[in-house]
Amino acid sequence: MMRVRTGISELDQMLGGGFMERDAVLVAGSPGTGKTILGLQYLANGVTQFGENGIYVTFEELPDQIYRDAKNLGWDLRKMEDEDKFRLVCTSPDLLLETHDGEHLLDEPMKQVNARRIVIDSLSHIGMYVEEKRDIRKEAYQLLNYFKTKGLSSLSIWETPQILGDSFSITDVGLSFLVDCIVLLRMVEIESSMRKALVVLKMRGSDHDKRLREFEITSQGIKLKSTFSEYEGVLSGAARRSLTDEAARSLAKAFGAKELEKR
Amino acid sequence: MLSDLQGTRELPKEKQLLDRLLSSEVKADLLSLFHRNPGLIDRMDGVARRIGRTAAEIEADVRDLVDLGVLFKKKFSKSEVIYYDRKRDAEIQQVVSNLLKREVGG
Repeated sequence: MMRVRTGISELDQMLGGGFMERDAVLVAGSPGTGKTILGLQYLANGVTQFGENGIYVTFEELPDQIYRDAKNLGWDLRKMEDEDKFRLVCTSPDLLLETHDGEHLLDEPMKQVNARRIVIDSLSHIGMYVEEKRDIRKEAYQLLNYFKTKGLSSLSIWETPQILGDSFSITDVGLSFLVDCIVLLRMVEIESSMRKALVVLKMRGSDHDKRLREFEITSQGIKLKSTFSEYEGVLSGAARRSLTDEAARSLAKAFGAKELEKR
Repeated sequence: MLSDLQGTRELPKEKQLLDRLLSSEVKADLLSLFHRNPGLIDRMDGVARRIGRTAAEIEADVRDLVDLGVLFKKKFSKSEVIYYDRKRDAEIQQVVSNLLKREVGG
């Protein structure tokens, strides 16, 4: 099976080489965790490293900030557009859900750049245009299937409200069952500072690294760091250092073995 | 297809084009919006909202820009969408640039 590499080498390793081709990937996270940057990096690397052109769909009111922010990270989206390798499409969510005589709003941009990748920022916006919560699932299902039939590997962004906390759900509308892969980005508090964690929660049809990895947003985009092997409870949002063998021995020495045995 | 209407109309002469482009504040706002966001495809109300106006306020100016071949309209499902042509954007920039050069030079 062909893999669709993100170009973030450590993430690709976690994914066993990359996302599966034509899979629907959901990137979930609370505000400020780097979801948009991950989406842009996936597309920009697709163009510059793998010859796979892409489309970024945004529902923001003034998306020109995306061009600016991407350029600050080293991705010149306007140049990619001039070269017909990329399109930034800005529209309303309900228009994206409509088809007209079998024609979809994205057909033309897809054709213009021969797109292989697409990012939807964000699928959460669809919720604003449907009457019932369960309709989000139906609309998302149709949209994701449309991308698959067009041969696109999609990455959809989903905003989760939680910044910290020990209970969370990826989506409360059942999207987790629709998508093939889920990447969760999360803020965690460690030793009184806010750090960012990434975990691949699900990958249909492929093994993947289940460990949490710390990541940073650098001037070149997302960079993954080490696992949180010294901590427990990271996903709860408030991690605590786990007791290593060495620490246990030191503790035993300090308090005396008998003290520890009493506990 | 969205492209069906594109490339079939020629832009008016430079001076006439500039006069019409700059004939209202709304037109200037629309041109600026689409120049900065060439991938914008939306209904009249969606476009209006992005420049802090209502659909009724921009309708006549949109019609004029469509007439000039700068913007395009297309019936799409239940809606009529407005969009921009990147090639036209380059042409308009060239026309304006030429005109300004001549004005400044002359």
